[in-house]
Formats: sequence, structure tokens, C-alpha cells
Amino acid sequence: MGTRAPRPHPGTVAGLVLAIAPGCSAPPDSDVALAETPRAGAATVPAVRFVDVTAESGIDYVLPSGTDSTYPMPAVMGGGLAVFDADGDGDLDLYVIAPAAGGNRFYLQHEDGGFTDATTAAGLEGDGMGCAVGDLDNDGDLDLYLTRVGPDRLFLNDGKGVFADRSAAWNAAVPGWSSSASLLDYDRDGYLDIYVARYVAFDPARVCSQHGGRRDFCGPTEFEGLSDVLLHNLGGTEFEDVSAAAGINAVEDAGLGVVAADFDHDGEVDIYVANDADPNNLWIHQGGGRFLDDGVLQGSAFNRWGNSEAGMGIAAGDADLDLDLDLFVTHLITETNTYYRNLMLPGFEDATIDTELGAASLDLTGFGTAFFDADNDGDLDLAVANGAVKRRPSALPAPAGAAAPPAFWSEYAEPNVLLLNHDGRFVDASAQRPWTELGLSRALVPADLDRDGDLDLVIANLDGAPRILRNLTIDTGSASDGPKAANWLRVRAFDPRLDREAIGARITVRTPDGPRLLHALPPGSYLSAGPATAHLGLGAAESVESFDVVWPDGLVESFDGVAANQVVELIRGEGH
Amino acid sequence: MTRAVLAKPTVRAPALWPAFARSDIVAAILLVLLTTAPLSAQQVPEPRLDGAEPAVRQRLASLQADLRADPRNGDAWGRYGMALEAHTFTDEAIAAYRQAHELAPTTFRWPYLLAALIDERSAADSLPLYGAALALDPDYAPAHVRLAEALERTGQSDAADREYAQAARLDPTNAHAQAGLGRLALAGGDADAAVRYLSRARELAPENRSFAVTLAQAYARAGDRQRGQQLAAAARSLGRINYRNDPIRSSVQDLALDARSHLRRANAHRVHGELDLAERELRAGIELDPSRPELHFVLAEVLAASGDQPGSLAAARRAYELHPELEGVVPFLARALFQTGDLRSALAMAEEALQLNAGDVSMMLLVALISAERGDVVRTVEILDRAYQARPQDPPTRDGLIQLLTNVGEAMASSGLPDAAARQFEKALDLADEAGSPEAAGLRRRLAQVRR
Repeated sequence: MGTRAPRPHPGTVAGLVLAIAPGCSAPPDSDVALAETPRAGAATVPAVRFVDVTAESGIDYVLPSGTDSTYPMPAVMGGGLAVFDADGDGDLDLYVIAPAAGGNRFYLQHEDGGFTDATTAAGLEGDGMGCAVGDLDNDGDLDLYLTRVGPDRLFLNDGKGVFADRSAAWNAAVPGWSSSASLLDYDRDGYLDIYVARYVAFDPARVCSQHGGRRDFCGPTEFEGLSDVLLHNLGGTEFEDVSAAAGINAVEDAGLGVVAADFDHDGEVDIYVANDADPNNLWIHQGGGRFLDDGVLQGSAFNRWGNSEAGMGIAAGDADLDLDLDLFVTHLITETNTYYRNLMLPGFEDATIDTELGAASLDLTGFGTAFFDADNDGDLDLAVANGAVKRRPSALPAPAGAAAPPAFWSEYAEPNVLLLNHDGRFVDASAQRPWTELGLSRALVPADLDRDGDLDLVIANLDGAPRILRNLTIDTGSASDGPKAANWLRVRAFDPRLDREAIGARITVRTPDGPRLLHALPPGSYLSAGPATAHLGLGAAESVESFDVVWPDGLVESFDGVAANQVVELIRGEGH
Repeated sequence: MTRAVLAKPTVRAPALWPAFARSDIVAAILLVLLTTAPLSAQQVPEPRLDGAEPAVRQRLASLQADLRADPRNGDAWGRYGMALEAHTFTDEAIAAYRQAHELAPTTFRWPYLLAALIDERSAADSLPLYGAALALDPDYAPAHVRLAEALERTGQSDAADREYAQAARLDPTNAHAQAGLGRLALAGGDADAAVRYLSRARELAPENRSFAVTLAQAYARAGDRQRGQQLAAAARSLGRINYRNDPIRSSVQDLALDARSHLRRANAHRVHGELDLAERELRAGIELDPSRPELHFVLAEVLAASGDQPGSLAAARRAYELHPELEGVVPFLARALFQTGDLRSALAMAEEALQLNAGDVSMMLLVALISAERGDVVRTVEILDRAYQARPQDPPTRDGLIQLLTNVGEAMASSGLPDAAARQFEKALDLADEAGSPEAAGLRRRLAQVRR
């Protein structure tokens, strides 16, 4: 039938799983203390429960921001993250990216779910902002493109989690301040190209202040924006900068987030870029490697009010279940995060008000974000990592019993947010720890770290440890729509000709509750990279009826349905 | 006989609170007082001022002293709140405005300013405050607009529509009211009505980028994609800050004493053609922080518009010294030097501008003009060809290029170089044809003559 069982998982997930035994209520020293006072604005809903298992994970590294009395802007913007299977052993490893020199750390996950620092052995020392992860030379393993304030770096994987810096040989040392990067095969030659969003021409000599003259971090409007870069992969051997030929160097905006996908279903991959204070770009592929920024006319460059906002991170997903990709962009305090509903006119509308996504974000500065089915009920929820870039109007108090944020950041620290999708409206479900804890969060990646069938979260924090929030949905049957209604599937679209995942594949899954759209895409988020394998919550459904796949090269195939609660691999050429 | 009636309507409460009687006004004020607990009169909120500019500290200290001397003076609390807000001490400003509203309950501006600040955090919480303010002065159109925007943000489209309409009735020149009506029409799927309202808003405030881009989107939704594209392209040159005619809120910003605030106010004055006020703000800002290149550059632009060319040139030079890559400063200097007749310096600056932005056709034209003036035919022809290859789309640049190509063609023809002249005329004609320019017919005739 063209599907195959996933590679065997070497061992179970004891370390993380054992922190909370399945079915248990809150443990004695609980991070899920349910009696805590809900945060203002957070509604009382049947919450999905996450528990912070960072301490048990073996990761105690404090990601250095490099901030000091000069308030260097990169220090407040950094904090990247990659969650990927670096050594091919079937579990997910972590790469934590710091703006401070020598601050990056790479952690290998073990069979027991714990992590150990393997930075030096892996050859992944250094600093950076963000990254993209994918098989760039089609040799069956995941390579890593590291964005930086300065020349970017390319690391090729030997298949065992040891990386070699091939930046020079591949012409990958993109200059200037790069932020997020996204993989795409825009020319359908089978090799993954890279879109690199670039931020501003930062000048450390510039002094900025607010609050009547108190020194603070500069904002993007203090500097010139930089044009983005499109690197064309020449047969898995090197990159060619095709930004000019593609037309994307026509604008110089302060780019921070990027997602590449076919937004208008014309068979060509498009690119959406979130710009900080500049209008967002929607680069519609015209064919032949030429892109046209149609964001203004398609309603995704400016918010409902015609304002450009401080675009940081992007979530892309079919949040309204109408089988197209919607967008969610995180923003600065006093701006709402913005939900752009895809109308397929082609075009989008700002539906932030209809979805009730505005209020939860107005007092926070959002960065990393992802649409993900937190409770496996079949629709997409949202998580947002927050932390101010300038002093807040007033510092937020740390919740009782929680560690205070680092002193330098006490006036910047904010809580992260979980928003559950209830029939197209999003309800704040962040009333309890770990969501109430304060920090300077940036990158955010959903991934099933413990392979139990629900999506956990990894969040990078400036001058704090990366936090691993374990999802308890499967263990406790705590799906918000009812106990045990939390079946799932993980869908991997694999192209054997390329020996890699078919990034960009569009998959329509026929479920008993209606069709669901999945994309084989790494999360956009902010400075983040994660698995391209798609996760589908099924609620009470115990099987799906079929899969229809549009492969990146345009081939359309169907695959037979399968039972729930497994990883299924759809192999190109083996459908019907 | 019918006539347009734009006279001030009978005083009445906003549509949100229909048929307000005096008792309703009292109830609204009470509601606000109950929902916004006041401070004790002695409790003066003091922001953290370490690192603040001395002028700011001095101003706030003075206002605090006024309050301590007369703690029951609501207006003194309000003035303190305004100074706090002007310097982004938002929490403290909210506390001061609350106190002002309690102690001076009949003053419109305190609940209004309080509402606007609360609105930045919660549109829903701002609604009763706007209501209380409008109960005191139902004729202040900007408050109706802000209330409408808060209603729109809370999903109350019908009520928002009524408030925008009320604002438009009170002040038909209020661009934000027209834009609000257009935005609601667009969200409601009525693209034609959206085009109508937003076109009016754009007429009233052509410098407003938000109106331009929303109108561009409305054109596209209405099926006129080409017009939308043209407007979207034009909107790129508009500033990101949109000014609105709200004297009460503007009076808060007027109190800010830091350099950036001076720049912001100067830009607002410039948009409204108040060049003397803009210059005053810029000079005050430069006195506070002479190291900010944008203050000098904007001053250069303002002085140029005022006709003070030497002053403009000096300010632009200072901006260039401080930040040679500041957007726009090099082309500005090139043009300014050209106007003073210093062709050598102007050429050097124009060449530098082309190094920074190889596609700047206006600088190519300047290089061509100066090269022609200096008799450098080779460079003139070479740079004109480059400009032609770039195919500028904005009408002034394109027309300038057509004119230059024509002039050079004429010069070559009169020098007995008909083939070279024909090549220049061909390019000019090509551009004129593409633009649908009336010059095309004349160029076609001239080209035929030269070829003969």
C-alpha cells in the first residue's frame, strides 16, 4: 500500500517519561500545581498539561545572551534552536544557539531520554542566531545551516552526528545579520535551496534610550534593513546566490521569520517573511525562479489597520480546517499578534479579532510560535514564546515559588502562552505553571521528544536554560475534549529518489471527522528548526481513511488509510 | 430647496449609549470611578529615573512638587500624567490620570487620555472610559474615532460603524473616520464601498501609508489589481508613522523632552507644511543630542524646503559626517551640491550614491547631466544607457530620462553624428511609447528626420 512502518525506536523514553508516571495527578513537587492563581486574561478551560522536565533532562546550560551595559541589540534578539535527529538513531537531539561568542551547545539524546553535551565532538562550537536543518546533499542525513551576525556557516553531517564546516566550499557565508532560514526546492531539481531572512545593518555605536533617556536596546528603525538572500543549491555541491535573479533583493526590510510553502496551491513554492516594523513580504513564485512580493494586495503585508507591525516569528498551519495554510505572526507589546486567514482568493484577511487572538498578546512581545495540536483533538492550537525587547512599562511579578528571571532581564521577562483552538476561537490556557513562569524566550519548536504520541515543546531562553515542556496529553488522557480522545498519527513524506523527506509535500488526510491538511514542513517559528514530519491529532478517531499527497515535483498520489497511533511513512512512487 | 447640512449637530451622547440623559452621564462617570480605583491623594507615582535625561528629571520633579503642594488639584495630576506618558512611563501615567479624573470629574481630557492608554492594553477595558469622556464632550470627533477603533478591536463591528459615521458627521475631514468605514466595508466583503471610503480617506491624508495600502488591497478585491499594484508601489515611499489630527493626544507628545520626540514632532509638522515649527523642533533635538544623524538630515530637508540652501547643505554635510550610509543622505547631498554649482563634488557624491544603490536612476541622470555639462560624452552616453536599461517606472524619473536622451540626441545630431543621435532618440521613443507619453509622436518624427 505504499506505507511502511517507521524505523524502530531504540528503547523507550524512560528518563523524561518517568518524571511523571502515566495517569498520575500532580506529583509532590509539582510543576503542574493546579491550585495556582490563573494569570489575568487566561480563561479557565480544561487545560492541556505540560510539565517542565528540563531538570531531569540533563540540560543545565544557561544560554549566554552576551548582553552588557552597552545593550548590544543581537543579545536581545538571539536564542535559536534546532530539534533534529542528528545522529540518525531515531530520537531527537538539540542544538541551542546563542548570540554570545562560543555560546552554542549541541546535546545528543540517549535511549533513556536524557541528554549529554556533545558540542565539541560534533564540531558545532560557535555562536549564531538561528538555523535551518535538512539534507542538503541528499546523502540521507540532516545538515545544518547556521545564521549569524556575520558570515553564516554551513555544517555537513557525516551521518553519525559529526559535522564539518563547509561554508567556504559551498559559498554559504552569507554576510550581515541573518536571522531565520527556510528550506525549499523552488526549482524542483531535488536539492534543497535556502531562503535566508536578514535583519538590519546593526551599528554597535548607536546609543538608544527610552523612559526619558534610560539606555535600552535599539529597535530596528534605528538601522537600515537588509535584503534577504536566496541560495540555490547546485546539485548538492555548493550554493549560488540567486537573490537578484529571483527578484528578492528588491526590498531591504528587517526580516526575522520565514516560512516557505505553496500558499496559493498553484504548484510553486512561495515564501512568507515576517519583517520587524516593515511590511511583511509574500513572495509569490512566478515560475522560472522569479518571485514577486504580493503581500500588500494579498492582505498579508499589513494588519487589518494597514499598519506594518514588529513581525518576529511565524506559525503556518490550517487553523480553520479549510484545507489551506493560514499564518500567525508574533509581534511587539502594544501590538497584537496577527492571524492571517487564507481566503485562497488568492489572499489573506486579518482575522485576529474573529479568532480572539488579540487580547492574549497585547501586553507581551512574541517571538517563537507554532501551530500544533497540543491535545490531539484534531485542530491546531498555538504556543507563543515571549520576552520584551525593551523595558516593559512595569516589571511582571514572578509567580510564587518560581525562580526569578535573571536580574538584568527583570524588567523584560514575560510568560509564554498556550492558546487552545475551540471551534476556531483561541482560548488562553496558560493559567498554570509552567506557562506562568517568566523569562526571555525566543525560539520555540514542537516535537515529540519522548515519542509517546503527543507534541512536547522546546523553548530557548536568553540567559536561561532551554526549557523542555513535556506534554502529558497521552499519559493522562487529558485531551480537552474528553478523556482518552487523543489518538494521533505522525506522517512522514519520503522520497526514495532523493533519500530524504519530501519537504514541501502537501498531504490531505481523510479522517472520520473530515479532511485535514498537513504539510511536510519544518516549523517556521523564530530562529528555529525542527522535524518536517507532520503530526495529526485524531481525537476519538481510531483510523484514517486515506492520504492524498501532492509531492513537491507536482506528482499526485493517494495512499490507503491506516490505524491511529503510529508513525506512517508515505513513500513517493508507491501510492496509487 | 435642499442643501448640504454639515453644521454641528445637536449635542447628544455617542451612539454606543443611545439617548443619554444627565443621569446616565452621572452613572457612566460613577462606573468609571468604580472600575478605576483612585490613589490616595498623597501617593504620587514616581517612575524610575536613573539614566533619564536631566531635562526630563527636572520636569517631572517640578510637577511632583506641584502635586505635593496641592494634592487635591485634579488638573495638576493630569498634567503630571501627561508628562509621564510623554516619556513612556505608562503605568505611572495611568495612575495619575485616574487621580485626575477623580478629582476633576467634569474635565473631558482626563478620562479620554486614560482611555487611550488603557486601550493600548485592553480595548474592552477602554470602552467605558471613552464613554465617560464622550458623555462630557460628545462633539470631539477624534474620541469617536478611537471609541470606534476599540469597538472594532472587540469585534463590535456595527457599533464601530455607527461611531465612525458619527465622527464623520462631526468632522467630514476626519480621514480616520473615513478609513474606519472603509476598513469595515472591506472586512464585510463590500470592496466597492471600501474603495469609496478609503479613497476619501486618502484624499484627506495622502501621506498616510495605512490608508494607501488598505485602499490598494480594496482595489484588488474589487477587481482592479493594476490600480492596486500602482498604489502599493507608491505606498512604499510613504513613512511608516501615520499622524492623526487629535489635538488632545498630540498635546501629550508635545511634552516629550528627548531628542527622538523632537524628531517625531518635527516630522509631524513637516507633513502639515509647518516648516518653521519643524525647524524649531529639530534644532531643539540637535541641542539635546547632536550625534543623531537623522536630526541633521531632516533639518537639511526642511531647510531646503524653506529655501535656505546654504543651511540645508551644511546640515546634510553634518548628517553625512555622522552616518555616511544614512538612507537618502548621499543623493540629497549630490543634488544640493549640483544646485550650488559645485559640479565636481556633486559628481563625486552622485557616483558614491550609485555605489550604495546601483539601481538609483535619478542619480544616473545626475551623473549624465554633470558629465554632459563637463563635455564627457562617453560617460554621458554610458550612464544614460544604464538608466535606460533600468527602465524607471516612476513618471518624473522616466520623463527626465526621456528628456535627457532627447537632448543628447539633439546635440549629437547637430554635431553631425546622425547614427549616434538616432540611437538616443530610439531609446527615448521606446520609453515614451511604453509610458503612453504624448512626447512619442514628436520623437517618432524627429527620429525619422535624423535617419533621413
